[in-house]
Amino acid sequence: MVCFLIIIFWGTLSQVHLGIYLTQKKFFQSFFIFWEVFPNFTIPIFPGGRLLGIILFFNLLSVIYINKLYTKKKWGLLLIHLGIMTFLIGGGLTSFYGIESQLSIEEGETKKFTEDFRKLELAIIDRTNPDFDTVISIPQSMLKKRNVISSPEIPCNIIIKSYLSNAELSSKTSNHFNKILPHVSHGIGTEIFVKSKAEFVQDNFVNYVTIHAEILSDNKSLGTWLFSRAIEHTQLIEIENKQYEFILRPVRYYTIYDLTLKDFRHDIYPGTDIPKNFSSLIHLNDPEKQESRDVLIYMNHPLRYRGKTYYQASFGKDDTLSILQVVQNPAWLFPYTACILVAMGLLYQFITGLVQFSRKRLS
Amino acid sequence: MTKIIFPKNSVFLMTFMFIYLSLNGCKKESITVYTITKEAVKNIPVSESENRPLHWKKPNHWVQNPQSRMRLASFSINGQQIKNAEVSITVLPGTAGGLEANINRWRGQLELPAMNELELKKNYSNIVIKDKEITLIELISNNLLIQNKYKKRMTVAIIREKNQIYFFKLIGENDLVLKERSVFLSFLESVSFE
Repeated sequence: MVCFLIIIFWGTLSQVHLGIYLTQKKFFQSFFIFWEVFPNFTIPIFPGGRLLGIILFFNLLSVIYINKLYTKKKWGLLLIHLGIMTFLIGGGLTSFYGIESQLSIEEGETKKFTEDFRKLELAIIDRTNPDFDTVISIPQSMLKKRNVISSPEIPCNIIIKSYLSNAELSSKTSNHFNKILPHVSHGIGTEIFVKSKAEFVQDNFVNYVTIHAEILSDNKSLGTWLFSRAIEHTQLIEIENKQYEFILRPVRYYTIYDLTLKDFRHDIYPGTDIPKNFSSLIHLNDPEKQESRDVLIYMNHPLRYRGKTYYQASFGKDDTLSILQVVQNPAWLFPYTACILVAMGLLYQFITGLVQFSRKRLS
Repeated sequence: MTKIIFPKNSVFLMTFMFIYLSLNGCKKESITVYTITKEAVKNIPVSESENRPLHWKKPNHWVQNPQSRMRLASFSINGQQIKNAEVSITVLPGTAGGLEANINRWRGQLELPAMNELELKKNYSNIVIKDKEITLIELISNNLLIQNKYKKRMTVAIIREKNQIYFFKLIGENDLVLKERSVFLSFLESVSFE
């Protein structure tokens, strides 16, 4: 418990420099907290939230056994312990299976996917089928390793020549530009100069991850391309007489229903700039369930649909763009269950205590 | 007194579940493949060039590509099999790094060695098309760069207009680029600035 207190205090202070997301990853969603002694050399110095959670879970389990909390007399304590264990399991499940993403949608626009702006994918899109598009998604973690990416699922082999966690792309030339990445032979990258930049850790800055990759088909090099988060459009690459679109983009989570932003409102109190209300009027269209209706999303009134919850989070483009935070957490019932268990346990303890006290008093 | 007996196996089961769930989060991400309903590809309609600082008339057989941040426009020219070419229009402010530096950069793209200033002068010529002064650069690779079968050729036209430099680049398989050269020059003729 002391260790928990320490990492909570430490993590809270670290949020100033690392931001919330990285702090969560480093302190609470890790087995150990690492210290970077030298660049690329880290050592564990303190147990992380995940390890402490496991230790606490077994600690509680042991307490149940050792103190025989499963006897009727101690059911109250058992329920309290089980409640806290349910909390821990819920927290674990959420960190593993919970997905947070965003829906950034302009007025009049229809989208059937949300995006995780913290994770990227190299998407290879095949649009040759007249009925559907096939998307092959290569996760950022694989690109980071700078290895050869080879799989029967992708139509080519990809050699990651370099990986920049943040970069500045420019058409302008300067003395030190264009020396970071090796030669790019194909695509838009031939006209771009790239400069490596330090990675941002703050939540409100975007890292323009940039990679330089060689594409091989049948062990023959087709050339080298530049893919970057800053390049928002696809690049066409022909592999074995078939056209594929390549793009490095935020990871997408597709839905079987689509959402259209009909209207975004940013109301203010008359005569001031103080916001009164942010709301998004969304049209939900689900062909499978034959559901077609308007939904108003505003403060404390999210849209809950098919396991996803859409909250009003931000806005932009002169109030024509709405940004919704989308949370998918299959373990959302765990905290409620845990609360009920703990409350029942406390109530049981209180009632049994009261009964015992009354009996003593009567006798 | 009622006594609840926990089967021994349940402890092992719970322990196993917890460890499994804990470690499952560490599993490696892998390549995923999925199908989606057809997406509308945002092609720039030709008329959109009206909103840009320059206008042009696109040859019918050129296919306009999706818009790119770095390019004003780009077009694909499909030849036979892997014999393809691409036309791109980019604009850069000022001197855009200088003519010599750019030619050497393009030479690098065709795996040609860099040249000094004097040698480079043989690589370009100045022509006038419809009152527009155009610097024309023509480069051809020595190596078979397209799938080890075909040479690559590049024709670049540079037009200076209002402190900006417009690059019109035709690049692709040697024979196709040669064939498209006259169409490319007609395209340059159609270009007009606001």
